[in-house]
Amino acid sequence: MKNMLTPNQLAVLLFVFLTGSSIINIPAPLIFFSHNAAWISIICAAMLGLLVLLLIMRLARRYPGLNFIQYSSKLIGKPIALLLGMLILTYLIHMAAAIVMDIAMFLNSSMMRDTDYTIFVILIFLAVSMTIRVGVGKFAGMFGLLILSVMIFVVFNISLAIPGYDWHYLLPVFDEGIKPLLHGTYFIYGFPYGEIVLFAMIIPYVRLKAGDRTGRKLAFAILLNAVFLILVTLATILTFGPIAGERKYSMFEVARTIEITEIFQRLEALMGYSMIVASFMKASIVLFLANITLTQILGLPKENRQLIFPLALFCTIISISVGIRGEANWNFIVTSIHPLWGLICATIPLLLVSFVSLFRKKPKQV
Amino acid sequence: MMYFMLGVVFIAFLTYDLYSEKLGGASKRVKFVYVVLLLLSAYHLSIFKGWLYSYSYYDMANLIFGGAAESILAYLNPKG
Repeated sequence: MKNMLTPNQLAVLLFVFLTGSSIINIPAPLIFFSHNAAWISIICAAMLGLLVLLLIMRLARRYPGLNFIQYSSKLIGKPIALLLGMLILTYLIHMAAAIVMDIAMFLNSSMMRDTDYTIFVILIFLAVSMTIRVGVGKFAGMFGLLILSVMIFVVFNISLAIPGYDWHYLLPVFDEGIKPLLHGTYFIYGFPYGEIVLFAMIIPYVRLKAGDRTGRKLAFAILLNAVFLILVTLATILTFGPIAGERKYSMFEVARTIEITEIFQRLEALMGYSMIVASFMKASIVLFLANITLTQILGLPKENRQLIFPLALFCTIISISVGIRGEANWNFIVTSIHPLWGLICATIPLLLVSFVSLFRKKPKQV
Repeated sequence: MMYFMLGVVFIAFLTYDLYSEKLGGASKRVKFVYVVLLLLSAYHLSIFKGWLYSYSYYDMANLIFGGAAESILAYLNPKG
């Protein structure tokens, strides 16, 4: 059946979803909040992400072939399930707009300063909506190759920057107590580990069988993501030290410091490519999730593509209108409101449904 | 340029949806949501352009989550 995924493809999609824009964007604000304990925040948040995955897989195996809204309807009733679906949809629309806005801001600030950011937003959403129209099976296959190229360039970047590392920058840790660590964990749980909940909508695209180790593959994707995030965060701290938290688009800035025998220089172009491609992939997955959530709320077939365009247009206009209240307001939304939004609209509904499932009999498997 | 691109994309996709995705024969529910999403887009475009002074999507998010987020921030980052 077309548009089904294999467990490996699902794991790749999860890795792309988690790593997507976080590998470039996370280090700077995380280091700003947690200072040298940033890598510890990542470990804490990744553990929470694994717990979320555990809940999702438990529910997915208990209700095979059903997405979050479908089994929520069985557990807590259709009206409340639809309400939770609406909450998830608002979160997904925000995520899609924010990710694309991030790409546009990056291009506008780093590479093409004279081009209006709205042009980037429109073109990216155009590409994203055309990508999701072909179906998840096709773009999941494509994303595997793209994320491989991204990760190769990231590893290349981290490796070539080693001559510029100062290992003394790793200390001190916990110089201001535990609160910076908690702040960093709050931030990075919101982006990207708390977003794992959204994968409860995409798991039905995989035919789960006993012994297929889907859960382990997804856990491996989370752990691999955590390893890469820790590496890029450490690379940023080791390169910039006390000012690491102020260098936006950290990997891009680290790449700018690389100059080896006048041959290896201007490598920031590779990081620019990585940022754009990785964020495009994540935006595609998010808009795809938004579309299937909307079609599920409306009771339409999951292959329905009629609402992709208006949804993409709505996300485009939201993304364009982000800047009308100023950059400080946008930073506040991304760093402080986003984790809370995800907690209330994604994590808490999952916890609620999981809690109710403890008191219900396991449905008979046909 | 932005409005020109939006207009071209809008016309292209609407035509595609009407003819290839058979939007004309879709259920009333789909057509209703389609129109609602387009109207919401027009609403936010009006706010962006400055024709309308009203709450946008993120203004609502700020209204709902802003207070709690500031409290969490105040606890986690007492220095400000």
